[in-house]
Amino acid sequence: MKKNIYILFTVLSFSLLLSEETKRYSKLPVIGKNSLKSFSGETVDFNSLYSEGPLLASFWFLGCGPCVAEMKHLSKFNEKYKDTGFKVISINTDTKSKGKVKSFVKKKKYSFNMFFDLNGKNGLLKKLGSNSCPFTVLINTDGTIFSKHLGYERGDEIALEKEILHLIDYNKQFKEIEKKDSKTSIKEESVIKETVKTIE
Amino acid sequence: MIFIKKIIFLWFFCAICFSQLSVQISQQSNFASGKSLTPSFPEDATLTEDYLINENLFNVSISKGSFYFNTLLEYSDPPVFGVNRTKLDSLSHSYYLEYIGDRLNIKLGNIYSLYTRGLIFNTYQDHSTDFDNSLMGIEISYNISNRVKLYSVFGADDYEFRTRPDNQLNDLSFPYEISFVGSEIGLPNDFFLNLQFYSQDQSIDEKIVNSNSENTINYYSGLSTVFGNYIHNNEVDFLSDEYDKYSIRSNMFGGSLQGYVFGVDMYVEYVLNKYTKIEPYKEMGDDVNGNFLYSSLYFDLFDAGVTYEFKRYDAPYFIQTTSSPPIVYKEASSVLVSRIAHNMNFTNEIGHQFDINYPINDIIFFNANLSTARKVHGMDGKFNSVEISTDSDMDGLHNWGPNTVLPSINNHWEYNTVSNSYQINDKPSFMSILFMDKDEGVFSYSPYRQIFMGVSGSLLDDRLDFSVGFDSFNHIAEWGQGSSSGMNRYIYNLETLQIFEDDYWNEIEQDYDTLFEAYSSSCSGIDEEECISLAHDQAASEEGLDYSLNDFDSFSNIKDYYIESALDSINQYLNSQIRYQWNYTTERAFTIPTYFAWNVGNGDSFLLYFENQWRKKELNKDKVKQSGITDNSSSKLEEHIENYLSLSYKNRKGWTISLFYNKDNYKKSNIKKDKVWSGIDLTVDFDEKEVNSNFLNRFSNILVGDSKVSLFYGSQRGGLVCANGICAQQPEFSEGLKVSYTRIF
Repeated sequence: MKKNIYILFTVLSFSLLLSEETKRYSKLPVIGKNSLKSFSGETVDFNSLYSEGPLLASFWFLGCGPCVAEMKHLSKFNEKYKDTGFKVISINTDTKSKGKVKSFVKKKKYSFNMFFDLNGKNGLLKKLGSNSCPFTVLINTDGTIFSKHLGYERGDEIALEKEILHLIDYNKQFKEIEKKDSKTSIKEESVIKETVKTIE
Repeated sequence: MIFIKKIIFLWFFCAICFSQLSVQISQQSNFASGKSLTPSFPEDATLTEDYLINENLFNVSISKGSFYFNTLLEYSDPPVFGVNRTKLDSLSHSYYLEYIGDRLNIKLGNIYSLYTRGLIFNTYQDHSTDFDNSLMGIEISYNISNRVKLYSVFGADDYEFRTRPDNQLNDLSFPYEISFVGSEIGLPNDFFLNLQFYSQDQSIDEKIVNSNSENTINYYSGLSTVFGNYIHNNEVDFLSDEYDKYSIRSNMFGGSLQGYVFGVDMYVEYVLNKYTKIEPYKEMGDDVNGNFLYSSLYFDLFDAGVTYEFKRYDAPYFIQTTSSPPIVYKEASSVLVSRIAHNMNFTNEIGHQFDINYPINDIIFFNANLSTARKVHGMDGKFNSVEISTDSDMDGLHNWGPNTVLPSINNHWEYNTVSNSYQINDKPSFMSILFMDKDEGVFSYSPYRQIFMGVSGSLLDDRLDFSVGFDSFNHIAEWGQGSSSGMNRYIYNLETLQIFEDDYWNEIEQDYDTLFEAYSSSCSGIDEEECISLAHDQAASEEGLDYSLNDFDSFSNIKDYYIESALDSINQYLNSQIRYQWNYTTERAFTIPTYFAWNVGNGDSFLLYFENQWRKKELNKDKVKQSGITDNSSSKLEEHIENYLSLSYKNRKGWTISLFYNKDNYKKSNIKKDKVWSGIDLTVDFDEKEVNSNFLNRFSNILVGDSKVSLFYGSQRGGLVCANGICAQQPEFSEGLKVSYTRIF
């Protein structure tokens, strides 16, 4: 049996090593159109949120101190870079204390949109590869993942802002390349990788 | 089940082998090497064991086209909680395959889902308490239009639970299967309506036992809940009837409405639960009605955001599996506040929560929260009727006379106690819960009250983040113990003693007179008076009297004196007897949690958590005597003064060093002791380097990628971790190394 375990771990390790090149800018997993809800109860299609510009999705819950500490910076970034098409959305994963979220968010006057994940931590958060908060995912306009970050400590916002600028720049250049070669289908992963290499 | 498993894994391997995939993997590994102390402080640890943890969790998500697969793989030997998973067939903790179409969604495997607020269906996993109520089945949802959605879940599983919080593993279970259908309908003016129907069959099997040969019936009979008392009172019948298995059927009908009206955001959800009550001598008991109600309101009042939540979960004989509704109290967000938690009863509780958020200005915010709760159905009290009668020796003592009876009158009682339960019908008022009035009518409903007030925000040009508050917690942790009542009342019925009877005294008087006449017949002359006096004394002495007609004018006065003395003596005795006795455990805590973060600049920062808590746990067994005097010698009071300090420095290059200090001063009766737990932690945050950067960076990406490594050396306090009504005991960790590794691939 031990042999089997070693084999499994070896296979997993090799897969990880081999997947190194494709990890960055990998496609988002398939996400249902009904995953998120707005405060008023309307269903929101997550896939429609990044089509106009790059997106930062931040996952949080009420009892999470670092999440709350990070949110005021996200609010500033959302305001500061809105002209570039970049936007921040905040996704609440509370399932047992949902009632208090609206009051908290409204009084803080955050500039970004806030949504509920219907399945809490078992929903989109898990799909994007985490099970704890704060978790931040930067998403390109073509539906690929630019980067992910778990946790927040005071001062992390400086590195995050640099990354947001990089994200905005990357997507700007990406659009320009896309315009130049309109015949190319950017949905193909091989093409994505080529484009990425060109940009970098 | 195996068929579903095979299909899912077949898809998983085919997908890996033959196609380009979107793969998301996260890893969480925990390693520890040190000593664990059992039991944890303040008990004196008698057992020191090696504490070795090797827990590796991989959350793997694979997506291809419209299909999505997720599995949680675990290799643990041993984990913090749960079973060792070292064999290939036990590596998969949970898994599901999902088809996501434009309108149709199908999920196959472990179903983790939340519908509306979870009054009927909320399945989730909580690693901190090793809780997982997911079920194996199929979930289908279909959007008929933008405003109408249908959904359903069908499945079955074993519901596993711990019989004791300090158990390492779940040790009992029962199978259940469910069918759940519902619809979400968008109404005009942004109102949303949900209608749900749920059917569940549970099977309680007496033959499923844990290592202590305890089955589910035995387990429930030891709980101090309405259901526990019911099972306890019928336990003999349950275990002696011809049935080994009891079926419980539950049909739930739920409806919820969400909307915005007159400046108020409102949400209301009601579930009617018609379920069968488990009964002895019946495979399936009779139907009883239960219900769950949750509502919340949010509105602005003078610039303050006010949220009011209400819960009423009333199905006391129902055993919940997939139902997990909102808690309606403030979740702990501080280390010390989390050490004392309201252990909520999800089938017998009513509660309110008021939460106010007020912006003092643009950067400083005030938050106040008041949460109260109590049981819908209070626990019964116990009424003890005590018949007191004299024992057989007392008749003999009467023959020796009143002067023998009187001193030993209270040493020859026999008791016959008949106990009856009584109900407290008057519900406690909101104010009596708010002030936690010490009253049986309040405490028998296990009240809970928590008040939090705090200010948070930024100062000094956004360089200083702070949060300061206080939290006052008070609850009746346990009313009664197991099947014994939280209140025992006594009345005493005294059987009449011979010393009070006229016949007894007539006989003594006659004998006295006879003796007196006999002794005084020869009295004459100058010593006659002295002789008569002596005759009285002799007659009295032989009749067992301390007094004679020398001392009293008449024999009836002697009789009255003795009766009065006997009554005084008996009353004195009865006054020392218990009129009523409390039997409950209360926990109170006052906590001041503070947090300060100082931004040095360029990504460097300091972080300080400083918390103080004054905590009391009292097992109250006060006996109030008939005289009104309270005897508290059986009660026990534990007092803690606990300090927690954590200071971190975060460097711009991605590493953080933290120092932890936790001290508890403990006092119980004459015992005083304290303990310190301290440690140092180094966390390094690795960021993924640029794809086209040099070889070293590429190698670093492969080796550590986007990950976080944390090394902790020292000791950590153990104790009870409670969340959502589930508790698990964390062992105390002493002088060792802990490593945790988190990686997002």
